[in-house]
Amino acid sequence: MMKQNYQKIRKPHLQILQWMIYAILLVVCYIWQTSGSMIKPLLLIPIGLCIASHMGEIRAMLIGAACGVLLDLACGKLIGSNAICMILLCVGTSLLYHYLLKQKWFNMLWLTALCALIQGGMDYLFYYVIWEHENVSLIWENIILPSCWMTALSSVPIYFIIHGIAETCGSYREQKLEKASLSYPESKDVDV
Amino acid sequence: MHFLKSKKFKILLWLLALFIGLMLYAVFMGGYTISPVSMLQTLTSPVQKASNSISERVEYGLDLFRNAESYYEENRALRQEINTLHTQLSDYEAAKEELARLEAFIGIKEKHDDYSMTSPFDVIGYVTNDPYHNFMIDGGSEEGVSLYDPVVSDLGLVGVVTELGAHTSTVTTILSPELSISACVSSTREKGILTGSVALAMDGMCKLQYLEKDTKLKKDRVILTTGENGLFPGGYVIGYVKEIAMDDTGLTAYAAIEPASDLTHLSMVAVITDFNGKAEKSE
Repeated sequence: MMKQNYQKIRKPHLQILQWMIYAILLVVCYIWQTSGSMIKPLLLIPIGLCIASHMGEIRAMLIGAACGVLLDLACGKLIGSNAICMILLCVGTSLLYHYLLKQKWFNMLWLTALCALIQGGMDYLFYYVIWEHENVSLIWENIILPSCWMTALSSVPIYFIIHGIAETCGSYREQKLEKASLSYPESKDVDV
Repeated sequence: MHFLKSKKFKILLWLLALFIGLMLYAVFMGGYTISPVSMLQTLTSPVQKASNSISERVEYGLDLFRNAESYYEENRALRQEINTLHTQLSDYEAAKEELARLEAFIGIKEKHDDYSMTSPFDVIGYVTNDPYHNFMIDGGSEEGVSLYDPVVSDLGLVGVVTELGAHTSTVTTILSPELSISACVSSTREKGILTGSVALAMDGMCKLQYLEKDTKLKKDRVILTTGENGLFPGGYVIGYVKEIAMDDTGLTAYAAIEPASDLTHLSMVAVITDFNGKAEKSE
């Protein structure tokens, strides 16, 4: 029964459209992040987390990798460093939304703030503190922290955009059904 | 004959005499309007204006009615021409700007004939949230760029290539503490080491350190590369002195240097691939 429901709501053309929109969003955010030299929010973090919150673990992993690599390129960091971080954060987000959290904007806000602080902290530690330059704390105060707050705040509009896309294209309903299936004994039959 | 003796003929003569008199008077006035005529003109001018205006409107209306089609065509052709001219103008402005920038780079080559330079590259993006404003350019190994080649703008030294791709490179700017450049003051030849500092980088400046305690260095003095380490060509402008202070140790002084190029708004840079005194890679 549940399997039939899935087959009904899964529309391949909508799924393709959804991933195309996500890809465009990622590219636009990457370009925006590399233009101009002012402090900017790292939009790829909330985008990755928002998408992951609507996906299963494997897809969350993929989207985390994509966002992480783009973040590495934009921030001029060692390729893979942010990718590893983002994969873990996106999988964590997917699991959190799967078992614990509801799709609410404030959940995404605090989660993004936390993830941005983790990413910023790692960046600060491995790219600045470790080299023992003088007054390195200025970078934390003047660049990393403001960027983290901006990133956290940017998660609110991004949440509504991604949630809207996911709702329209089916992955959110899919996830809801999947969640519901966990509370039924017949869920074992479900092939997601 | 009867007419010649009549009153009418006398009146005619009087009139002719009057007008001849008026003519002569007008001639002697030397271009000034004689008062009765002027008065007449003053009185009739509002009427003339109104009449003229009505006549113009009527003519305009008739003209529109008669030539509407040709005006429409003409208008369309003119609009097209304006659009073409606008496009040409914007292309011209862009070309002019580009030419001015390229001329500036040619100026570098003229001043330093020992330099081998690449053609100017566009800055394709800045490293996100980087305190030292490192950036990417659209030139790489395929365009003749090598790792650690100096990068310059038309105004001064910008940095060095630290990551090299086939068609893109990343440039570390002189604000970064990773770079150390042998530099001197243009007027006094006093030497120091130019390096980045986190605190000064926040204000877009770098540090000329290891200056003598009793340095005579003054504000706005020009700082040049010495070319001693073979990494950077000698005699190239780095920036200007903004502030002089004592080091924490109290043994040496340092100067805060504002780079000659605005590192936050670069659009085009060139890479110096070779110059006199360049160190070999192995060195």
